[in-house]
Amino acid sequence: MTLPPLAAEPVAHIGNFAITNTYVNSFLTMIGFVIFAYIIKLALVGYKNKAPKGVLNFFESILEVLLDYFDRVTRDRKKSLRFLPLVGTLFFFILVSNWIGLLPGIGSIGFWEIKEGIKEFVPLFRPANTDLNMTLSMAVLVVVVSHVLGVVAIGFFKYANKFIKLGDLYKALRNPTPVRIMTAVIEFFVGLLEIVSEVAKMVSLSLRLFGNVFAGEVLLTVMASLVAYLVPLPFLGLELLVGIVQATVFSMLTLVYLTIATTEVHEHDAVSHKEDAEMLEPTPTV
Amino acid sequence: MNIQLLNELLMHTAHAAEEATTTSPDVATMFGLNVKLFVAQLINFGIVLFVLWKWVFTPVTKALQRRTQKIEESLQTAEKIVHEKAEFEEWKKGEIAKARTEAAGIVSQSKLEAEAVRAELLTKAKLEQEKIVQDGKAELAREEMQVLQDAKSKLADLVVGATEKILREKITDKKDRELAEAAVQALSTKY
Repeated sequence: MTLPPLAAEPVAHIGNFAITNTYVNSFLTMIGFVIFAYIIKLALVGYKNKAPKGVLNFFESILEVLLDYFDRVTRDRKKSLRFLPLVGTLFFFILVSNWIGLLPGIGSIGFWEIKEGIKEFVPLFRPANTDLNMTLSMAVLVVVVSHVLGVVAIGFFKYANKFIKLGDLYKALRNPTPVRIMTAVIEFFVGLLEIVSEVAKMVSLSLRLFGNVFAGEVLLTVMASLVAYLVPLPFLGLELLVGIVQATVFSMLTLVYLTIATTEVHEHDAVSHKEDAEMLEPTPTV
Repeated sequence: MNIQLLNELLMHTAHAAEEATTTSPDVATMFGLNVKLFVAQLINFGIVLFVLWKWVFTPVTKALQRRTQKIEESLQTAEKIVHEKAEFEEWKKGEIAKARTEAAGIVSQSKLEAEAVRAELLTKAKLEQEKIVQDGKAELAREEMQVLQDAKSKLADLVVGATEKILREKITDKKDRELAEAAVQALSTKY
């Protein structure tokens, strides 16, 4: 039994660039998606202004379910439609990549290689999300896009004020009260923590997906090496479930990040402070 | 003793920090993190994002929105049609009732007119009939008189002839004539 290593294994080279087995899988997935998208495009031309049938009908039904889920997070159909391309692509790409990894031949078709004097089996295909490069690239893209959309949606200065809360500090200093200044200082440091949390978002998104899919791969390898027949079947079913859960988690978190980034922060102005103070005052008793 | 322990602790921490800094590149290698591969995977995902965006999500959502709009419009149109149909039914009922009233009026008017025409025609026919009957009677009376006159004349001739034959030799023509006319007069009075 050879457990899959953490790093993807190179199977070929183009110049300096090492083509890894995970890259082969992600490339095949990409080709599959291009073909699928082209079929949908043709189907759309064919069924223009008519009731959809077949693959288009099926895809439309999935899309409607997805949009309903998105609406629950964004509470705005326009936002859901704006985020659909990125979040939908993430969901389908991760789902298909995970499920392709369960197909026969993935992890079992390969070649033997001698590394440091030891003969090792190198699979030709390996689930794309068992490569941290893949998951990290998606996570970085998500965080970058969320910032870009945030700036576009609410403006640069307002968006920057989410992280570097100099605006709040300035307002507090214009009408200084100890509570206001204290709140502004605390919020300033909270803003700095937000910057750290942006890095944490990338790390958590990428490592969660990588960890879950890689663990599934290891589990399946161990089970298949213990008993080759029947026993791995429930675990394959479990991995099907893990595949869809991880795709949902990644895409839903992305949707949450995008929604938060494009939502304007409610400012605590003088009126609201007054209202808060009134609410906190004890009710007079007779 | 305490200082020695603190020194050991500090040394241990320093070693750990050094190890961490020296092993951090190894962590990247261990996970296979590689800038080229990272960019390649990003490009792969970018291509999928681009084709799905251009060929799938945008056109399909537009088609869905168009269909939703069309369905909403159709529902509104259907509602409008139902409303118009109800209005038309109301109007139709009113018009039918109006037409029925008018028709009943026309029928009763026609009946009255027909009755009047019938009565007039009947009167005319009766008058005509009476006239015809009277004319017939007059004609009959006239013809009867004519026949009687002819009969009287012929009878007088016969009587004259007969009497002449019988009394040819005893009575003159003048006397004969007077006798015959007297006889005819007596006959006409009788008949």
